[in-house]
Amino acid sequence: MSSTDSTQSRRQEAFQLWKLPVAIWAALLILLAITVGSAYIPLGTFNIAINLAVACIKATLIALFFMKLSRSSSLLRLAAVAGLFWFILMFLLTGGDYLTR
Amino acid sequence: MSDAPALLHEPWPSVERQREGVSFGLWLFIATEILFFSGLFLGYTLYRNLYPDAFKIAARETEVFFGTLNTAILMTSSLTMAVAARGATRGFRKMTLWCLAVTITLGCTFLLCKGLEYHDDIDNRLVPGPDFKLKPPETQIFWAFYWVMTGIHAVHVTVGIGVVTTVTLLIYRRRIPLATAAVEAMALYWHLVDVIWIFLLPLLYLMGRS
Amino acid sequence: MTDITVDRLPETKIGESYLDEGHSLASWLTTTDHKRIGILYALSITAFFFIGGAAIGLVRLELLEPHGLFLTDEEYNRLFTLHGIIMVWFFLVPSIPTTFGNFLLPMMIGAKDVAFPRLNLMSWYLFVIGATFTIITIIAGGVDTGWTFYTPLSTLYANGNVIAAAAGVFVVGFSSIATGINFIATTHMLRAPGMTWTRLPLFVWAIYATSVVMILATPVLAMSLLLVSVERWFGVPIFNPNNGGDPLLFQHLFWFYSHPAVYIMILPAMGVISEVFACFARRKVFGYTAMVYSLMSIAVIGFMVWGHHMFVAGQSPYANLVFSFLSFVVAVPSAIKVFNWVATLYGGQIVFKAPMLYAMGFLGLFTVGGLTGLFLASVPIDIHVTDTYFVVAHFHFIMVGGSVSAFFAALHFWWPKITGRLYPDYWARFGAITMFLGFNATFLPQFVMGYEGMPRRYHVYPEQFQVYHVISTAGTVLLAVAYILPLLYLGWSLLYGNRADRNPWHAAGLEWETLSPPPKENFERTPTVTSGPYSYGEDAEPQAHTA
Repeated sequence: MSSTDSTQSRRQEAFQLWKLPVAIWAALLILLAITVGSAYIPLGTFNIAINLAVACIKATLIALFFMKLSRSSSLLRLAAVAGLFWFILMFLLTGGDYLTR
Repeated sequence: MSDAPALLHEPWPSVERQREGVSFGLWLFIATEILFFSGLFLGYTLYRNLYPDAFKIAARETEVFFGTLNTAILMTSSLTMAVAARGATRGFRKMTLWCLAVTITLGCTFLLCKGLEYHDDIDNRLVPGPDFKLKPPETQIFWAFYWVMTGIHAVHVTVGIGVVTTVTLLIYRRRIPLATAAVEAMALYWHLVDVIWIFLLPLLYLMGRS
Repeated sequence: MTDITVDRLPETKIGESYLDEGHSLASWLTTTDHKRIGILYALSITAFFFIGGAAIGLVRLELLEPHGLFLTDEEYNRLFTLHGIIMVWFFLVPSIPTTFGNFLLPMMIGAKDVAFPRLNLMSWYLFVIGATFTIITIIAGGVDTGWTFYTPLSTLYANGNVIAAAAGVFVVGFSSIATGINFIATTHMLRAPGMTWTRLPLFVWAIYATSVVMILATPVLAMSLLLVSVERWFGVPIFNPNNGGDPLLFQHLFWFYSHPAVYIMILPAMGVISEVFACFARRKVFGYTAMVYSLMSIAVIGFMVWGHHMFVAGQSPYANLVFSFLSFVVAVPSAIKVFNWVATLYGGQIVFKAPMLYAMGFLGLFTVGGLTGLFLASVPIDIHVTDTYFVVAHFHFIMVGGSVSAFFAALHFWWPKITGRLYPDYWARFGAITMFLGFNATFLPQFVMGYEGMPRRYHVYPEQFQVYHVISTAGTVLLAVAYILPLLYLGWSLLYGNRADRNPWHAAGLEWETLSPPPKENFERTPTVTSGPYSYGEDAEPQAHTA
């Protein structure tokens, strides 16, 4: 393989490397625009609902693609899910107390 | 290759296994971080539920401009960090180092913006205490959470900048190999810090705007 | 190719004992060997244990007289706070995992070391620095909030160095988290060939379950202490009722950690007991699978019961009901374990060596502690005995009767492996029996006086309780003897004890197949495991052969 060929293919590889992250980044910026924009439209409780939903989507995108959970072993996913599960546990049991006081 | 710094450390049987192990360890740490912040999110949620009006009054005083700008900055730094992590395992030395440098710069910019914002907040008498600007007293709870949440987040960013700078310099001086598992590990940490900010944005900046 | 090649490390030659890898202080303070780090932890927690013990010795002395003997209110409060903080965070939480877990976990699964050896060393430094800092601040300046740091006492009213003490505990929390991450990663990633999950010794399962609790609960403690410190320091209102804050939120966060912390203390103890019973009854542990599931379900359900500390604190009656129910549920797996231990002993050829006596002490005391826990899980009884000596006796039965007995069982069981020396069994058995008697003399009277209404954390009390306090203090003396005695005969064994061979108890398990004390690399060659644990009995075969 000549050196120019290999430089060419390295360039190609580098380009491939950027493709997915840039796409995710663009999606994140669009979602940011949506969430900030929607905050100024009076929608009552839906405002916070939309904002949190968008935040969840953004977090999922980052977790799946930047943090590579979409390609990780189930062990790594288990660790991530464990964190979420205990987070929910805390909210449920404490929230249960406050809502029934 | 033989005089390159070692990639494999005791007690790991192979480089692949070690890489997986480091990522796993970092994910366990992320689970820890989720639980660390969950206390804050829980407190915020419960108090917001108890005092919705006070929280809306209080939330209007945060600076959306800085909040949004900082979100965009962090997202961009996450992009360069993600590319760095991919480039490092594929041997793109120069690109990885550049991406890491940009990440560090963006991280510092984030802190700079945060500092400017804090300055404004202090000028606006938004530090809870006898001098506090808003009424009723429950608005102080919102601002207590504002300071603690953004403060702890800023500490995380600072730690991140320190770690990334150290690893970048070590790679630059060829003290540790480019393909070290440390790049992937600190990328995971950096993304986590980004994700936490993504949830702070709606809670602290976007509430009560409509 | 880039440097992602699967290059194998060169086979290392079998070295001398890990103790002979270097004799200088620096060789110990910079070691990344899990065995040496285990020893460092053992030395530091022993020191902390005796400081905490001295504090409670003074408290018990003070309680001899109904009007107090020699302490002011303030001094009394500071002493029981010192005792609580040290014993919970600087002794019980790290006790078995950081010493025996560090030493044995890699060996039991056939690994050379824990997954992240340098992190392991860093975690010891964090522990020692944080703990020493806290102890100095408490002794020098005093903290009188009790180990629970309840708001608004801790944020608005308490005198003394609350922030500094909390900061030290915060740092120690990081040590706990680092250790937990290390153990989980080690168990997942570094098991020897053939060491499947169902072949893991129950001690490994117990440490694994403990680590899960450590990494998920400790950060919440860190956050609650941080919030207390921030509120106290800057006056930022988070729990302050004057601004609409809710002190109960602190209790929720605090007990989200501190109840699971009880399982951090007792799960490793359960692991130790399974190993010891199997060895000295010469039988396979009864119901291995049930033992594993009960360990893991205690770790998970243990997170859902914290509200039983808040039955009278103003929590909603519905939440009380739910937490009460879940507290009964978490007793089920513990009961399964007790039944399985008894079934392990049943029909076994029991040998009453010192570790076995300590383990049997555990079984009785843990059962009493667990059953009185059911009293407290039931709301009406809890309302009657909240904040009395009944509660104090209950949790000391679990933590001291349970965890500390198991710690001593482990110490005597693995001492020959760790040091390569045999200790005088006669004195060890004498110590075990003294400890059991002393413990019961100290804490059984506390059940009675607690039930009759003696509140905890008071040093002035009605005269009707004096007789119980005197018995209790007398028991403490016996207990102190039982704690100091091992220092003497184990210390003696280090100098004059007979050399131990690889497996003095004829126990099963990978750790017994290597030298005593083990070499730095643990094994001559990486072992290959061919059968499950606890292969005792006539057809017993060595668990592994070196390929």
